[in-house]
Amino acid sequence: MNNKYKIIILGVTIIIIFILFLKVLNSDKTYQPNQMIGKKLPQFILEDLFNKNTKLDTSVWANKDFIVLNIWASWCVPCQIEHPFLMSLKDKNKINIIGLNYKDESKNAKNFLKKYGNPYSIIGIDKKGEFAILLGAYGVPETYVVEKGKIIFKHIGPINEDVVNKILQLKK
Amino acid sequence: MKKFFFVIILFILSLNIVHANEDLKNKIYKNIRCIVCQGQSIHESNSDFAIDLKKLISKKLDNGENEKQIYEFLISRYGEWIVYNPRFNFNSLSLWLLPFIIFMIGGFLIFRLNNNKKR
Amino acid sequence: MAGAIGNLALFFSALFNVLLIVYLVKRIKNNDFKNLKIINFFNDSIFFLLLISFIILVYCFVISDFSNVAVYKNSHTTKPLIYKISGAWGNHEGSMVLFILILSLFSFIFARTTIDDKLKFYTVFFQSILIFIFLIFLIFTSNPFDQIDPKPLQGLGLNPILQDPLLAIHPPFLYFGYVGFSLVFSFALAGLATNSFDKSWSKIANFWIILPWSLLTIGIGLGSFWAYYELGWGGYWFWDPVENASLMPWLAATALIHSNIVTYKKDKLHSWTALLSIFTFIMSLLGTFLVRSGVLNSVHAFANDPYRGVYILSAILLISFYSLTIFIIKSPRKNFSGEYSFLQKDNFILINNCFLIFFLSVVLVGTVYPIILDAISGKSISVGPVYYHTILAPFLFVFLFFMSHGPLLSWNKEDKFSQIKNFKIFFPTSVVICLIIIFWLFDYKDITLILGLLFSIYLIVSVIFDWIFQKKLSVNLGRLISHLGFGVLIFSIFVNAYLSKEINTAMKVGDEIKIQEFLIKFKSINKVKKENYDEVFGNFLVTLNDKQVELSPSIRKYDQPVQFTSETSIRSNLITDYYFAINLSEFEKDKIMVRFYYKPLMFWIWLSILLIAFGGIYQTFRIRNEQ
Repeated sequence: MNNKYKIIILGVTIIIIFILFLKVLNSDKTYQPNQMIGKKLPQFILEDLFNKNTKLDTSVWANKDFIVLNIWASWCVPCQIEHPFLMSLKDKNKINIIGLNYKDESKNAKNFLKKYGNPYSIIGIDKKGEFAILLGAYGVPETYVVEKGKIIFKHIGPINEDVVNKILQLKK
Repeated sequence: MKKFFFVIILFILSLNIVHANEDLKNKIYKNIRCIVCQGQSIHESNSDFAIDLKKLISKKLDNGENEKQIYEFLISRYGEWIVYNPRFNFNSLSLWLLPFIIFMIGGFLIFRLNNNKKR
Repeated sequence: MAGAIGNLALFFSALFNVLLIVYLVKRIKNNDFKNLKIINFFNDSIFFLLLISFIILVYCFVISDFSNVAVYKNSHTTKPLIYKISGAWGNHEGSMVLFILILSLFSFIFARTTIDDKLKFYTVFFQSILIFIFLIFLIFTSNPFDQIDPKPLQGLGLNPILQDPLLAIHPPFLYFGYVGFSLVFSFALAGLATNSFDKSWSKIANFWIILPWSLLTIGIGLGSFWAYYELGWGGYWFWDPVENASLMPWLAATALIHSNIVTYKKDKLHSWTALLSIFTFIMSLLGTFLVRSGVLNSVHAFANDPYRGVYILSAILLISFYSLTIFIIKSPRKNFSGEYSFLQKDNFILINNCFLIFFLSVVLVGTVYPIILDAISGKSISVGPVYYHTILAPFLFVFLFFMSHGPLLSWNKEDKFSQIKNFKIFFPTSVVICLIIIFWLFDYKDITLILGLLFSIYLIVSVIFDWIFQKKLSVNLGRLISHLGFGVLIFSIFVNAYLSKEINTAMKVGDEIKIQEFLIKFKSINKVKKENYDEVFGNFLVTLNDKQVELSPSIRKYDQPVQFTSETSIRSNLITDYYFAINLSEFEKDKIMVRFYYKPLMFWIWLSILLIAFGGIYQTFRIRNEQ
């Protein structure tokens, strides 16, 4: 093989490696598992935050046309930051937002809502984080969009305007 | 002579390399990544998430689930990344084959290089 | 003030470097290779300027000059002095200064050896280009003398885990290794460019390959040892991407050492040796890139700055391109002399080099594949220890076999008879020893254990045999020591892997429990107050059969910022380590989480790494004394 060809092949290989690693450098390093997208909302029984005796069955939520499921906690600072967006989704866009109170004290949770407002139509308590694991969540806040019982969208971290727009787009 | 060695290598590769003496629960813990930590397994981590998973896995083992089922469950929720030791599937197939392929290509190139010199 | 001088020193070193390169190009064009006085002047000046800037950086750390960004981010007035000093190279910018300083140091030393002028010329030329590329990177993206105004009163750098003596010296050793390979890289390019890549090249190169290799071996050992006693989980190697990043150049360099020996003795394998010289340094650069660019997800990862990552990536690919191009164009054209036969030393070395490159491919794929897969398809997979063990183990056994017989072969004549004789001695001896050990010590056995022990014992037996009947001991002593070290290492790793025990439980003071064959008694606790932390010691007594060991692991609470660390307690002897660590418990308020490990032959693992390195160092000095 001619030397020239070898050098060209070398050059091309190096350019390919460069592009590959450039892509790696620019990609989002935080892990965004999207395993649950397309899967059914897992079935679970939770206590209602405001009424200990009421048991909520998540399969009821699965029957609804379009809901946003938001995992939150009173001790979670980014949850405070995203809260106004949730309020606006409820007030302005009339989205049905269901809250999942994660590893929290009910008293603190209620105080949080009193202070910042309550965007949720229902709130279930996930004291041990068991339902969150079924959802493939690993922290707070995380937000899911469930359409007719199927998870169609997931966002890790506090929601922002882009996420809000995405959610509204999905509703149509 | 070389063929002989190749056969031995293939034979050994086909055996299941089992790690000795490990309590199954610890074995699983060491194989599950703590997603919220930097490079630790849930065995080594004391974070909330790690502890939750440990409790869950412990419960599943008590319920009679086996190792494979537990991994399936976690992977279906969190993706392949959560399990440290790569399973044999399409994604990891390249992983297992690539070293051999690189070696063949490299060996081939060098062989050509040396042969060209001979002439 | 000091920072300004340091900055100036860097600037001037860069200036001199540019001038040197320009001057060298001119001389090359004129084909004038006599009289190296001016070159030496420039080369030395660059080294001294870099040394000055490095010393100034250390000085800034020592006096806690927080107007300097690097000092501010990584130091603190209450840090003990040694950690202030080592903090200078324990951060991205400072370590880059050290990187470049070592590039220059090797050039400085090399220029003082007696070598053909033309070769020396070209080597300094290629080395200067490397220095240039990294100096530009340093000055423009990672300047250690960047200032902050107004000057902060206190620094941010008080991570207790990083204040550790081993961690302080681990980077310099690694760097002398990694970066040290730059010299043989430049020397190889020089040899190729001047068409003088031959036996005499190999003779000189030997020193410049084995010295960094030995230092890198120690560096890797130090890192592993640190992980063992600091991380608290009884492990010493995790196939963590950053660990792998240091292993890859080591594997390439090991192949290079052996290839170079063949080139020197038999005037063969020139292409291999040249290519490996280039490739080893490229692996070092790859490691540098992986650790600093933020592509890795690891406990270790350094400067997570993608912008720097792009620069390093470009630099590495550029260096790879021009060096490999030179290789392609100028690849040594040497006919194979002599007849080919299987049972010759050079052939066995070649075979094992192939294995080494294969091992390197495995580590490379395991490290880089998940990163690339993630970037392309968004899917993430993890590559854990089982991957490496499964692929490497079978080939390791064959590798050990060739490593045992190779040194006993002749360079020139095929000697079937003595080989069969050797085999007839080693094989039964090893099998017998192996069987005795296995049936005496191991309840659980599998084929991997048996083969691992068999072949490592085989290697040890063959080295001892070689040693006893060795006629030219001083020439071969380095090799004997290193090879013996490697055999002991593999043996110890296998025994340790199969016989380690782990006990995890919760205990409160006064508890005494018996798990497996161990009796563990939690005798007492005592508290200690130090300058920047409070420490609670748990005093335990572990009884195994009739042996009693006292261990006192602790938990420390640091105050700035509040952080809890677990300090291990390890009692080592020739047979095993007793290893204890404690953690606070989330669930039970009066109990603590207790972890006890029984780790056989850990001492031998560390000793064997030292042996491997020592063989190399012995060889290096022997070469130097010869010249």
